[in-house]
Amino acid sequence: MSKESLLLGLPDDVLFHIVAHMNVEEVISFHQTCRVLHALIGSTDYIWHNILTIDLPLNLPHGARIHSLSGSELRQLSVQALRVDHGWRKNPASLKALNRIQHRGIVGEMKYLPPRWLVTMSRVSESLGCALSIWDCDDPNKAEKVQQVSLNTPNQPMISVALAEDGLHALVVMYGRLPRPEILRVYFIPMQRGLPSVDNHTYLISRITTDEVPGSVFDTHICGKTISCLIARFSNNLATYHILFLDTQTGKYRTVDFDVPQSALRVRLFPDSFLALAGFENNKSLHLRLYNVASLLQSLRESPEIRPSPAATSLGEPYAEFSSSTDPPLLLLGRGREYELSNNCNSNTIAAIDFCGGMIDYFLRFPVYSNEMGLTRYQDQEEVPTYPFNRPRGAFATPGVVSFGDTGRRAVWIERRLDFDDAPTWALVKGTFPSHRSGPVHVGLLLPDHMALPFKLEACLSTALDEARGRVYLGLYTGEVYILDF
Amino acid sequence: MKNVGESDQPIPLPNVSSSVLKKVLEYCEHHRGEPLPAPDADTSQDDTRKRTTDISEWDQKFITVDQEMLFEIILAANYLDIKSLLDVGCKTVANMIKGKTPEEIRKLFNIVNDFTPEEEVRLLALPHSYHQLILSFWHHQAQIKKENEWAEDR
Repeated sequence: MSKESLLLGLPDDVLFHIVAHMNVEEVISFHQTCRVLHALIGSTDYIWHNILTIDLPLNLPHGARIHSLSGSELRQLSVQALRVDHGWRKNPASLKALNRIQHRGIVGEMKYLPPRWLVTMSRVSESLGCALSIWDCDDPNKAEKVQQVSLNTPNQPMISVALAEDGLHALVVMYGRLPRPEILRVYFIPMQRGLPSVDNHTYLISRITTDEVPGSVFDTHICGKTISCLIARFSNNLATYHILFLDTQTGKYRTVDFDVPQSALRVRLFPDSFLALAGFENNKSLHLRLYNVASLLQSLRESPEIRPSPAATSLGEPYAEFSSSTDPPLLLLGRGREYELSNNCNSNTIAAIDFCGGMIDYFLRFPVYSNEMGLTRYQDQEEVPTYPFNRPRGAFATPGVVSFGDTGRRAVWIERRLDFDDAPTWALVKGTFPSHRSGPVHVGLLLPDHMALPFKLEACLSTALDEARGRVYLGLYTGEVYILDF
Repeated sequence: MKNVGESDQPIPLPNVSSSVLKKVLEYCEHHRGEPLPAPDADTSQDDTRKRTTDISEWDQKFITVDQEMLFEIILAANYLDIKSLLDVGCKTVANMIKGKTPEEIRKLFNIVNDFTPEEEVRLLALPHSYHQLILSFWHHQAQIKKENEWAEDR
């Protein structure tokens, strides 16, 4: 064989043709072999736009789409995503940086808003009440508070957050544990780095009380400018459920009734006017119903009144239904069954973890994708892709404070294990899950055992996950937030 | 190849040696009569387009040749515009790269590593050890504390 590389002697178009048959990881390895390939592959938009899918969570700027980025931008994002993936998959994962925010208060709830914002809900003190804070965490070493909204409530309300379409405002919904008669508050908060955080601004744009809508809010989800809420009303120990839709631009809202034999209900709303209703059915399967609410939302928008008269008061028949095909679990003594849903309304699937309370747990991916005709592409598919997994601390450990990443490809949670004659032990756990194509599930420890951390995991009350950066936020009752980069 | 076949003129093949041409003809002979792939089959960027790296059994046997011959076949297929053969060749090369590190790829294809050591370090970021990380964290915190104390003294 001659000394010269025959491969490098190929014309560029043939090299492109070869690269077209590789996955991202191989393209990057190929690209790192020598200067010629480095220059050729690194700067060619064509190659990067034609890599079929980069099957990893990418740290895309707000509103960016893959085809609007240049080849070198996509390459950098891919290299970053592969590095994160590599570190994340190690067992335990490799920690690359550790930072701390001096937050103050009890950090009870956190949500991460890609591409850079952390929203926290903390309880400052009995007399001072609670505070909602927004942090710019682009550089975790210099995380800066950009907004704070003080609340005159003794208990921390729960929150749902979303980035507004302009990318400059956060839409925050507060529910549960609000001072009665309020059941829901909606805030529209500007996020600008460098602005002094102004405390006396309220940014409150909507408020709903029990006089207007009786009941309690159990779950909310924001999609664009519309908010969907799950409301329960109790009378004679019987609960009836309702969905409230609120248009944040006009403040108009309406409620509809529904009747499904499910428990532990959650709602998710999607841009193509599909409402997903998830819950346990007969405490056996995790069930998801998809409703087309396009006409409902249309009538809400067009109605001249703030509270439109309920013309159609029911959700109607579900458009599609999916049921997990997991066996009824053998419940361990004292353990309940819980589940967690991913949150991203721009995704075409809903990821779910079904913590069965038994020996085996399940990851599921419910399809919700629909095309312009309003037809669900996965309509004919009967089975939901279901992946069983074992948790690293075993069946007797209780999982809690679960956070899903934006695309549901990764999740973190904390497990507490009670040993019979020993003190309880805590572990930070990671899950790596397949996309809509099938793939392996990895669930393992994020940090090695007996690691001398500057904080105690048992002090952790909340988690948030920046999936694309491989960054985990831990909110402590000691008033600190730790930022772990993997 | 249709429009080529209609011409009586001999086709000049300066880049294709006779042994390679024999291989190419063997391929065309075997696949004669098969429908041509749609011309725009590979331009759609739909998810449904599957990038299969699997090659049929006959093609696999056919393409099991030494590297020199493989690249010659690819070049000939490119020159003669035989898309299916070009695909088989390129898939084979892509398959050879599958799961290999840059160093292994260099070895496989005789590529000289012409990066400087500094450039190489930049290509592969090395993670720190846990111990180092925790130490540097405390160091950083101590510094912040000192700065704060200094600011309070003022």
